Amino acid sequence: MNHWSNDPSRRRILAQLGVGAALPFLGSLVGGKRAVAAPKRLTRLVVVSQAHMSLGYHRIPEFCNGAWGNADPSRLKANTALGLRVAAFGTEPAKLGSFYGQGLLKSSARLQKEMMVCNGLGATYQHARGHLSDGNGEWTGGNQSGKFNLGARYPLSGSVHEPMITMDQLIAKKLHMPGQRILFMGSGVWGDSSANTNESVNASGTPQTLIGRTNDIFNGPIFDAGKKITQAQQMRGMTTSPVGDPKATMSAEDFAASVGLAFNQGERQRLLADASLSSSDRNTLNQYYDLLAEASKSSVTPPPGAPSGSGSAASSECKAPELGPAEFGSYLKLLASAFLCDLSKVAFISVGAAYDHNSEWHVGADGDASKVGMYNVLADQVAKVADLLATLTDPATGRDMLETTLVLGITNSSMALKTDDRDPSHEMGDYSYFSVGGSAALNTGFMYDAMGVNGGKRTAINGPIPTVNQYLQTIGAAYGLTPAEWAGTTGKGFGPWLSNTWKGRSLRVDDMARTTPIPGLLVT
Amino acid sequence: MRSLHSWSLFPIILASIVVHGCTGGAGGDGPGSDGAPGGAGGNELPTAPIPEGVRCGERNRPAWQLSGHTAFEVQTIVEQVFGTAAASDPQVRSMFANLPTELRSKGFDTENHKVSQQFIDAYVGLVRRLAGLAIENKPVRDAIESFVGVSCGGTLDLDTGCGINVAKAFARHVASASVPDDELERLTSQYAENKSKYQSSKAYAGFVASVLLGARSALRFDVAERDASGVVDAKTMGVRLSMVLTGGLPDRDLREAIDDQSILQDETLRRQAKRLLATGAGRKWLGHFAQQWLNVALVKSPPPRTGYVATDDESVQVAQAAREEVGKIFANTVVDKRGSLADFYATDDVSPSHAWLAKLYQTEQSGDVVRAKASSRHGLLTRAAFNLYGTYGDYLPLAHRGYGVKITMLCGSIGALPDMIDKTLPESSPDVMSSREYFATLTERGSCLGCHAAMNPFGFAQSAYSVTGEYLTKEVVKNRRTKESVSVDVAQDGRIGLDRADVSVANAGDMSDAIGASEEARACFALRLDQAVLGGPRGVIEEEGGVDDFLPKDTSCSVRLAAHALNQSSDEGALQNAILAYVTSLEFKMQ
Repeated sequence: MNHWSNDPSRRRILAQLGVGAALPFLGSLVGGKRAVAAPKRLTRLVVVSQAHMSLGYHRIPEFCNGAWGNADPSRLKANTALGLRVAAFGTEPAKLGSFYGQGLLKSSARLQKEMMVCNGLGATYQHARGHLSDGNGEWTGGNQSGKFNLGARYPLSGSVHEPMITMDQLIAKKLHMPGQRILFMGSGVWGDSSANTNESVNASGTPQTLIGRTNDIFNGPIFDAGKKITQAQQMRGMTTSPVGDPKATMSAEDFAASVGLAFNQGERQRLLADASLSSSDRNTLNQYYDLLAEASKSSVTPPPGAPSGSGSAASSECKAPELGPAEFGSYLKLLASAFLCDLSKVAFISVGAAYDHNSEWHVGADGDASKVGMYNVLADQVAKVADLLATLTDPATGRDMLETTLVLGITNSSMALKTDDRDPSHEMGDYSYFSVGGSAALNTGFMYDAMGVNGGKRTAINGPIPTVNQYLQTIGAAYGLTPAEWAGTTGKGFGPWLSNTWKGRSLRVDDMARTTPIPGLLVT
Repeated sequence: MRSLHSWSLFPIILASIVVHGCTGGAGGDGPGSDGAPGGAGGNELPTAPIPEGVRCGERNRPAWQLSGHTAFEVQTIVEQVFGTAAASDPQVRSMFANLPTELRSKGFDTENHKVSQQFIDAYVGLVRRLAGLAIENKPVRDAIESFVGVSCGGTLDLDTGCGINVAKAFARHVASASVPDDELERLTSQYAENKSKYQSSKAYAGFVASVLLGARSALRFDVAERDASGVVDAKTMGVRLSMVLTGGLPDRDLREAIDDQSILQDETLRRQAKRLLATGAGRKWLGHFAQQWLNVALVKSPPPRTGYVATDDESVQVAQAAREEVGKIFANTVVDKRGSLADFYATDDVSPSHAWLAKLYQTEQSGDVVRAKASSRHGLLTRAAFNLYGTYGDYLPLAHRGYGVKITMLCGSIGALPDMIDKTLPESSPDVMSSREYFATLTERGSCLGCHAAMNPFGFAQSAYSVTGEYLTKEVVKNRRTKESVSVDVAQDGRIGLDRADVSVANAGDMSDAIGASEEARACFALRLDQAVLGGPRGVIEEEGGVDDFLPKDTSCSVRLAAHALNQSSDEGALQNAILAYVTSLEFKMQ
């Protein structure tokens, strides 16, 4: 008997079984290779922070309107005719290339019309134990001083690497079906495991390892050496053999979880039929089974702004990637396969290339146009990620995956690392970041600005929340995660509190008041 | 008979207790004789006479009930059932870290005995991994077979004659309540079907996960069958005893006592309890309990510095070693030394598992419990765990140390901090003050005085220990105006409030002795033991009289019996007897 026929509850059953692949129920919505133009145009937010931006001072509005250079809007490189708003490199943009002048951002009319890139390099960074700002110390500099939270478990100030990954995990909690996992990859040298960045942590504080070799990723839990792609294709009706029993191709652990969850849901009523249970015990049992069902149900509440029904279907374009030699394109192929085959909705990737921090990066930031090449690598790679997502159609919505997937990452470009004697004042935690996608959720047009109540520029000064915080808080709030809380130096600090964060909480009234518009971002 | 789980019978039972006196197993090893409320399965419940003066109050604490396992229990069970190969797996350890725990936030983790989303997420992930490990790793299967007591050579086939026995024993023994036969049949049938359709290994993994995700395995399923007197059934009694004293499931020895119902006899119950405490798991539980009771989660990682610990990692290791040391000393006192509460407080033992602790105590580095050589290390309060509280500005946090003693060791009640605190020193304050002088000047005035007068003296007696645990004869403080460092004398002596009297103490060791011998401390220990078992809010002692009066009036019998067992402070085995009195009390058997 084929248990996996066209039963209308198939999706839920599969989800309860922990199947990461999806179903062909939205075939009519599947577009061609390139996403069909959406009837409602969105401006997509792409944020790129570069070296030193993690240390505080700039806020997103300043970041995106060019006001980082002493609040002089004329420094904004904007092509308003195309609707493109791009902050330029460095503190003297006239002397440097602009971000949108690079790679696909330059050639893709689509991206130019719809993308907003916020990018910047802070020259007025605040020192905090050198450049290192781990969110747990006092800092001074620029005639300012402040104190980062001393007790925060995952401070969203200062170093960005860990909070970024934490945020990945939290968002994935909201978006992912059972069996789906964050695609977690990266290396300073593409496909070569010699430069893996491995100081990241997950939402529980457990160190993670970015996998560098594309083959290792392909053989890992996301793809299971292609078995999960095959499974997704079978469910999509793209292949006819073997018979589409997803359990046959599941990993043993997935199989065990799915069998165990299903078996015990079946036992629920039998156990609760015991009339001698006290009401308290009965409540506890019901809570247990409800949470067990929650752990296996097909989808969680979509985040605000996210299309309903997202995160469930494989695309007709789902196929195994043809992995080439060590090059960035192989990562993009893995990314495309993971998203199209509905194996993941969230990815973390390391981009950029290594240049000497002090002799190249700082010099470039100070206006030496000869150094612009290092920025071009970063710009090109971020643009490729953005372009890729724009080409991928989400079968659940018929729109591109800039809306329904999220790629966050670190920019490996020219960070000084004490491990190679370039600059002992830096740590991997100082990596800058970028994000692409998530626009359906992020297009609220508002940033979360917990310090906005204090008003004005430099609100991070004497407060705990520098730019990075504001951005990550904005992402978190967009996905219905907890607002960051600030409880003073003796309190619990701020940031996503892991004991309850992923459960999601509503913004408090006063939190809502602490949002400010992101300039240039269309609200749909 | 499946008794009513509601408390409709409780008033009758309680009345019976009051009439007969509070019965239980306090006192010596032998069973008592009177006051038995009835038997279970033909077994009489031997009971000991209630000690003179014990007054059983109304039951005022949480009942036994179905609840989530604590993180400590889950870890213990995983190691017990799946062995060290599984417990040391990085992914398993990661899942352990995800389990909710209150220990880090100053409470007893039994307070978190509830089913939460965080627990389920971590637990399901853990089960998934354990199921995978069970088929990948033969030592894990061997551990399973060892635990269930059926050896089949680590088979993956659970529908052979031997394998079926493994399967059914596994399903029965990892559950905290009896598993009905029809459920066992459904489990094995599911396995057989999966095996016929997929591989044996997958079917095995599915079976393991199905059992572990069952409510009887995932939860403390304390939903007991009771006899006419309200005494729980043998399985519940055995699981309860094992979970309370080891954090784990019944081992094979205890399972035999469950199977032949002898666990319902007081003598067996007491013997099993005593045996469990002496096992490795029992010692771990004792250590775990002591760390929570004494709040050593408050221990802070001291700042790295030259000559002390050079790195952040080492600093964290020092704090961890200091926490664990307290637990090891306690377990050693209970099990090996058969000591009293007074012995524990008056300890000369240390467990310097980190080189820094060995330096403090002038001993060789050792994870074992050894005797401190430094004369300044007599008494529990001279251990590093009670000094690594961080700093208060330029001063030793003596008020904080005193607060810790008053709250944790004496179950005292200190009011909440007022909203507005005047932290300004009077103008007339000297430029140079010791930490003791600083806190006396700052707090022993105005609205601060009431609370600080009750807690400061306990901290002042600990003035001779730095924030890194070193013994000081001089303290280096800063001149308030010039900021120059100045060396000042340290004074440790003082008078502390204990058992409603002012007691003179010469130093921290002397104070440890006095606290350990006090009735307040004994009452407090019994309250904390109860809290560790059942959760609930922290009780505070009442300052009215002897040990029985220090306990709140509505304190349950089991707590009073434990307190009275401790009352004979010089008795050999007083601490162990207190724990045994608690777990053999009628309330323990009934609730």
